[in-house]
Amino acid sequence: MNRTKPETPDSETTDETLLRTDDVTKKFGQLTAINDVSMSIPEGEITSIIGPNGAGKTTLFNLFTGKYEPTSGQIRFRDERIDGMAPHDIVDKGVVRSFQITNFFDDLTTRENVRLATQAQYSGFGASDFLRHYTSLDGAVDDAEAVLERVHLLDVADRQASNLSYGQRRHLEIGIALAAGPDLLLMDEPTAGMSPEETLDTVELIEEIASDTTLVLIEHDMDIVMDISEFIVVMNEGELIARGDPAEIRTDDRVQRAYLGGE
Amino acid sequence: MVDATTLIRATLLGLQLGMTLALVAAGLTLIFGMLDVINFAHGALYMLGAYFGVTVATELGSFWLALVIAPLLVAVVGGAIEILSLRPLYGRNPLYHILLTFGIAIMTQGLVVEIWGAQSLRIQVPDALSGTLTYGSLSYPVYWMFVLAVSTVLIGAIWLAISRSDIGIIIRASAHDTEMVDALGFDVSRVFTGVVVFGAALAGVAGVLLGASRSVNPGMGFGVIIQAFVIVVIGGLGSFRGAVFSALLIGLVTAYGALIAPSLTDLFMFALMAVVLIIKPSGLFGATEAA
Amino acid sequence: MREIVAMFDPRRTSVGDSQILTSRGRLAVFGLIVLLGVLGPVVAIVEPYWLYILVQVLVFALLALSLDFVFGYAGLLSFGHAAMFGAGGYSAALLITEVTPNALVVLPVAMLTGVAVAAVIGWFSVRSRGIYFAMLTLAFAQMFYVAAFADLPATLLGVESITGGDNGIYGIALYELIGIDLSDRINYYFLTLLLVALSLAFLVRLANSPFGRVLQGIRENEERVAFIGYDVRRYKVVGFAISGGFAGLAGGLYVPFQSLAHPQFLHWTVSGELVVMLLLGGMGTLWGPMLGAASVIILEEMLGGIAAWEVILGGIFVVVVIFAPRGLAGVLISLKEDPRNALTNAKNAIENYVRKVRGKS
Repeated sequence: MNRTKPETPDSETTDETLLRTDDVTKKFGQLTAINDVSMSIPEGEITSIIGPNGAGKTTLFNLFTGKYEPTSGQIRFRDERIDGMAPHDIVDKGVVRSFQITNFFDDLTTRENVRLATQAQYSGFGASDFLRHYTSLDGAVDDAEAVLERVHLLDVADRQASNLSYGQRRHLEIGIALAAGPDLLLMDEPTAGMSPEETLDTVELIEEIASDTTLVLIEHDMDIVMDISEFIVVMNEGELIARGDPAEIRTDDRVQRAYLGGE
Repeated sequence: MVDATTLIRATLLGLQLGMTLALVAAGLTLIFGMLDVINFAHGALYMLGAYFGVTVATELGSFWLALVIAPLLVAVVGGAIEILSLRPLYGRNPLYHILLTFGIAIMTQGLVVEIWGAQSLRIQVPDALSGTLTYGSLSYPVYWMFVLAVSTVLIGAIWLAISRSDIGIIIRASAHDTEMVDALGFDVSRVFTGVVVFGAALAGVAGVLLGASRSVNPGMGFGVIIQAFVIVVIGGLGSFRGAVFSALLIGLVTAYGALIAPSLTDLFMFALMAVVLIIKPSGLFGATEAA
Repeated sequence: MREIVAMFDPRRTSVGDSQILTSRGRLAVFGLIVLLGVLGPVVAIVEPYWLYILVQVLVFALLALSLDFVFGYAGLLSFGHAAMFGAGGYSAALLITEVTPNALVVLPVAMLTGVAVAAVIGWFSVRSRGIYFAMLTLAFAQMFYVAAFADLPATLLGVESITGGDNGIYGIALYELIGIDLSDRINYYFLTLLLVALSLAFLVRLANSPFGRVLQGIRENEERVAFIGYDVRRYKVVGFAISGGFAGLAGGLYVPFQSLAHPQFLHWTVSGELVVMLLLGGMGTLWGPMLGAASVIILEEMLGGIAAWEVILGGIFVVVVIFAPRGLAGVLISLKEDPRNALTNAKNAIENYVRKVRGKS
C-alpha cells in the first residue's frame, strides 16, 4: 500500500490546512476500521470522502468529532490536537457534524431544534442561564432565525420536527449543525434517499454554505461529488487509497479498480 | 482471626446463597434479554413459590410434591402476568414495565398477607434431609447441601441448554432482534410467554428451596428483588452467564462480609455494584453501549 | 389505530416546545395554592388530624416535584431520591438537636446537604445511562440506608451515636422562626405551603430557562445534545444536584414535623413509592407528580383502614400504567383538549388492550 501514497502528510500541510490526521488507526477489537490514515482537509473548500460501504468513512467522522478515540495516531484542528477531546469540546473548537440518519429532537418544533443548537454559544452555567426565560436569550433566538432562513425552513418553523417532510427533515439536520457555529462542517450523506428535485435543492444549499464554511462530505452520488468537490479523498477497507481533485480521481487507476470500476 | 472451619462454612454458605440467587436472577436476566422488561414482580414470584410451597407441603404433607407443584403454580401466575399485563405494553418505554411490575409486586404482597397472614411461616424439611453433616470440626446442615446441589444442577442444566440447543439459539436471536426469531419460524409471542413462565418457575423453585431453610414472610419478595437486580446489573443485563457469575460473587461477598461486619453486608454488595458500574457502565458481561 | 397509540405515547406530554405551564396553567396552580391556603385553617378547625395529612401531602408533593425535575423532565431515572430526602432530614435532625432549631439556618443546610449528596451520587452515576443509572442511584441510596441503619458514622468517628441506628433520631423539636410559633400545626402548614409554592415557581422557571431546555434536550436525544456543543455530563450532574436540594428541603420539612429521623426514610421503597407518585401523576409536567403524591398519600390514608389496601393501591397502579400511561396529568390534559371524546377514547383504550392481549395487535 505504501507505494501508492501520493505524498507524505507533511508536504501537504500548508497554511490552508484546517484539519489533519497523522497515521490514524482505529480498531474495534480484532477489526481494523481505519488503518494508518494520514490526510488533510484544506480550509475554505469542499472536500468529499468517497468509498464503498464499510470503507470507514463514517468512522472517520466519528473520530473527528470525538465519538471515538483513535487507537493510535493524532488528529489536529488548526494545529491543535483534538483526538481524545470530548465531543462538546470539539464542537467548541468549531468542528461540527450532521448525521446520515436524521437525528434531532422530534418532539420539539423546527425553530426550537435550531434554537437549542444556537443557544450553546450563548449560555453556560451562569446565574442568568438558570433564571431567565429561554426565549429571552436574544442572540440565540436571532441566530436561529438566520439559520432557519438559510436552510429554507422559516415557513415551517413552528411545525413539530417529526411532522416535517423528508427533505425538510434533512435540511433541519443540516440547520442544527450549522446552528452550532461550525468552521468545519462534516456532512454525512446529505442527499441520501432524496428525490432528484430535493437533491438539487440540497446541492444548492451545500454550495451556499460552502461560501463561508469549510465542508467535508461523505457522498455516494458520484455526479454530485465530481460536480461540487474541490478535493476528493478515496477510502477503501479502512485505508486511504487516493486523493486529488476531481479530474485526478476520475482517472486514477486504483480508484477505478477499487470503486468506480465496480459500478 | 478467622479459622479454616469458619472460612469453609462461609464459602459453602456463600455458594449456596449464590446458586439460589442465580435461580432468581437467571429468570430476571433472560426476561430482560428477550423481552426488554425489567421485572420488578420477580421477587413476588419467588415469594409465591415459597407460599405455595407452604400450602402444598402442609396440605399434602410432602416437601417433594411442594418442590414440584409450587413452581408449576408460580409458572401459571407468571404466564398470566405476561399475557394480561406485559403484553399490552410491548413497544412502549421500558420504564412502564418497571412501574407495572412494581404495582404487581405491591398487589401480590397485599394478597399474600390477605391469604396467608403477616406472620412468618416455614416449610417443613423432610426427614431424609434433616440433620447435619460433620467433617472434623466442620458441621453443616444436610438440607443446605441439598439446596446447593439442586440449584447447581438446575443452573448447570440451563447453561447447557442455552449453549447447546435450539433454545439457546432462539434466546440469543431474540436478545438481538425479535424479527430474527420470527424469521427462524417461531411465534414470538409464545416465546415471550414461555420465557416468563420459565423464569417464574425458576423463581418458584428458589422460593420453595429457601422457604424451608429461612422464614417465609410477606417481605421476602421485596427483599430478594433488590439483590437479584444487583446481581443482574453487575453481570450485565440480559447476560445469563453474567448473572450466574455475579450471583456467586454476591453470595460469597455476603457470606464473607457477614464474617467481618454482619450489619454491613448490604453495604458491601451495593459498593461492589457501584464499583463495577463505574468501571464498566454496562456490567461485567453487558453490551458495551449502555441501554 | 395510530392516533390511539400516539395519544398514549408517554412523550406526548411535551409536544412542541410548549413550555412547562402556560399562563392558564399558572393561574390554575396559583388558584390551587390559594385554595390550599384557605383550606388549611378550615381543616384545622373541622378535622385537625387531616391537617397532619395535608402537611404530609405537601412534603411528598415537594419530593415528587424534585424527582420529576430530573426523572420526567431531564430523563434521569433516579431510583435513589430517598438518599437526598433522608440526608436532608438527618442533617435537620442533628442540627436541631445539637445546634439550633432556627429554621433560617436548618432548612438551608438541609437543602445544601441534599445538593451535596446528589452531586456526589450524580457525579458517579451519570456515566451510566438508563436502567444502569437507575441501579447506580439505587445502590448509592441503599448505602446511605445501611450506613444510617448501622450507624456507620458513629463507628467511624468512635462516638456512641450519630444516626441513632435502627431507632433513628427521635424527640426532635419543631423549628423556631422569628417569633412565629411553629409548634402550632397551622403555622407549620403555612410554612410548608409557602416553601412548596416557592419551589414549584423556581423549578418551573428553571425548566423554562436555557439550562432547563438543555436538560429537556438531553432527555429527547442525549447524543445530539453533545454534538451541538453541550457538556452533557455536567448538565446532568448540575440538574441532579439542584433536584437533590429540593429533596433535601423536603426531608428538612418532614423530620421535625414527624419528630423523627429514621433509616426507613432512606430506604429504596421510599424512592420506589416516589416513582409511583410520578407515574400516577404524569411525569415530566412538574405539577402532575405533585397531584400524584397527593393522591397516593390520601389513598393510603383512606385505604389504610381496609385490610387489603395494598392490593387496591397496586391494582390502581397497574390499571393506570396500562390504560393511562400519562397519568392524572395526561387524563386532565386530554379531557381539557377533547372533552367530548373522553368516552370514545376510554373505549378505544380498552379495545386496544383486548386486541393486544389476544396477540393481534
